[in-house]
Amino acid sequence: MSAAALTSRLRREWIKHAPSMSRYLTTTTDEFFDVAIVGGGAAGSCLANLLRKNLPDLRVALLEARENPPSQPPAERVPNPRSYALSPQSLKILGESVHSTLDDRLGYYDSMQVWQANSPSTLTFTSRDLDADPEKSTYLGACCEDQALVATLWEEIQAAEVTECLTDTRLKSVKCGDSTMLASAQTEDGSIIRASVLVGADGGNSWVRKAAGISRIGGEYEQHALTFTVSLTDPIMRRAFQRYLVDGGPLALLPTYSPKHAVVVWSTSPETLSEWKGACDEDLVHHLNSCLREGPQRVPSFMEDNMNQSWSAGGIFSNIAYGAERVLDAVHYGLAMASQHPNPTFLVPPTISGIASPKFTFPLSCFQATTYVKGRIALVADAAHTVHPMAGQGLNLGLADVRALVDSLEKAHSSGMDLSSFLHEYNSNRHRSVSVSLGGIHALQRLFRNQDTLLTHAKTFGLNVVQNVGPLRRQLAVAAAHGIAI
Amino acid sequence: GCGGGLLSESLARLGATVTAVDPSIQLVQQAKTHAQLDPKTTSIDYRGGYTVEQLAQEHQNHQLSSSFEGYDVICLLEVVEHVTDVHSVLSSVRSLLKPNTGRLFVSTMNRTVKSNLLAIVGAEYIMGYLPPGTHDWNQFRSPAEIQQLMDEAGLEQVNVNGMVLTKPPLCGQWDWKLDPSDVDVNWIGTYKVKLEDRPQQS
Repeated sequence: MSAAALTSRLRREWIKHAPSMSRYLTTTTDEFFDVAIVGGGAAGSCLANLLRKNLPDLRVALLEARENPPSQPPAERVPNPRSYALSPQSLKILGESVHSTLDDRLGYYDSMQVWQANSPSTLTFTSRDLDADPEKSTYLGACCEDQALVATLWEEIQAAEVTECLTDTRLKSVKCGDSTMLASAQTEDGSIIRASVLVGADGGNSWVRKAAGISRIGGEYEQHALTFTVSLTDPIMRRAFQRYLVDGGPLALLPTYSPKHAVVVWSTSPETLSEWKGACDEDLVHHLNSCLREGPQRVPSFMEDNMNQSWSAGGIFSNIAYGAERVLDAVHYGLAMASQHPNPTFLVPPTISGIASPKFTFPLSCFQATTYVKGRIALVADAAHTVHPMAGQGLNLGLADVRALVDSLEKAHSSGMDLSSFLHEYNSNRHRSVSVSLGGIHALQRLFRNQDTLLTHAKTFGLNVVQNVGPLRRQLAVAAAHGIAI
Repeated sequence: GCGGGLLSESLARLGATVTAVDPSIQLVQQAKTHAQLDPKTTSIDYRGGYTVEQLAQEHQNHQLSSSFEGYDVICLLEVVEHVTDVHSVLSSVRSLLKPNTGRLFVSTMNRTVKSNLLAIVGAEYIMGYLPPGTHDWNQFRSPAEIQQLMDEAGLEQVNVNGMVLTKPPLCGQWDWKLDPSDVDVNWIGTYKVKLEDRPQQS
């Protein structure tokens, strides 16, 4: 046995008896793994955990740049606004043991109510849209803190002691590999990690994606998001709310594990955000309540909107416009009244009583990598695609990627084939699916940003159709839950 | 007939101890290089420029001094249609196969009109999956013919299955299925040492 291998073996034995220590590569080594995962966030650690459970004989390394593995947030504190909206399908992918550990830290919701500024329509998704059987569909989604999720996954991984968890590890170069050469990554201290498959799970600004030379299409939105936790006067009762405001950006209120706390996610222009980020809590609370507690409105008259136009001053045209608006009103209300929806009435969200956490802002973008696979490198989750948070799809899509990647690895492994044999299938499945989801969410973003009156009528009509055509609404709910294309 | 080592590597990863033999030196050299990529495949015993007859001879020479009982599995996949003396190959294989529990897998193509159209005209000339001339249709064998050759070599048939494509190649992914009733083109048979022909143990 070479000196390097012996040192590495001795170090591993030592670490086994000191599990609270993270592992440092102090001497340069050249190690082989079946799968090396770069990025120990939600998607990367979920992938490592699934591989540990489903393909236990594979040697897996999880590389993380942070110095220490994430720790569980202390109990009895205000929920952290840095959270995900997880679908039931995502919780299934995470696994039963993770779900049950997280259970009392999840903000479950049974319904999501969506409405707009200046429009009479309301759209409510319920858990019944996912499955008509009340036994099976116990919730629509659950809001989960990032810290709690990642800490739980790391706990499971480290407790099993089979995955190489390499913290405080940063890479300086990467090679994609091919059928005759393994993928490899060199760390900042010179050690080399070779793998049959190297996974980039390192987030929207993925270093792996850039180093592999994979480009992406899309762009940054003019909007940024502001998120913080608020305290409520009354419990939120397992309901989520989202209103598209006059400036187009949605303002969402999501339940947490604490019934009288909720997370606000507000997407709007950076100017508006910095204005409100600096404002005093009282003013902000007042503004939020006035936005959220205002119900559906009449669509403003086209005439009022266009008073400056000389041809709208009067005469036949204004009569036609007036008539058209009345017809549209009748259509909107008629559809709403004929509804077969189980919860047709608009529910007023609970009143916000105060700001309970620091405020965080983050830029919003919609990007799709041109390919998810190059050589022996595979990208998952935000490294592969980023999306506007309005549909709560970010991590759901990411975990669906993880599940699809594990499937392709299992397929190869079960026949003893090279693990990278079916990466092209992972790519074609997920790239196509995600493109459709991204397209849909981006289209919605563009649609709701525009406050043109005619478009508002169209949106109202559209929202009503989705609300009242059960099969369509259910299909959308299921597609969102599964992170797949319709 | 290990060729580039695709099957050898898969079997090694699934836990087998593999000896891989092929008359081509160049192909086996490539196989050896590739096998170094994965720790699970580095221990494959590759023999390039070597025939199965030579392997049988080698074991015969060591018979009295080793505890070698025979191989549990011998694979002759897509080999018999390229070999001139099938009988010699089968005799050697019989002497290398473990009696009772050892199994021989032979796959080849049947000599039918359908196999000519699909495997030669279709695969070689139309779709270009293989270079023209890869296969000589006259060397394709039916299960019955192979069974006859097996019998002469002291082996008996366990079962035979056709390997059938369930989706046409033109639109999307290939999907192979084992079907005992359709041996018109590709087929694979399982064989074992004939009971009454057990080699003498000394």
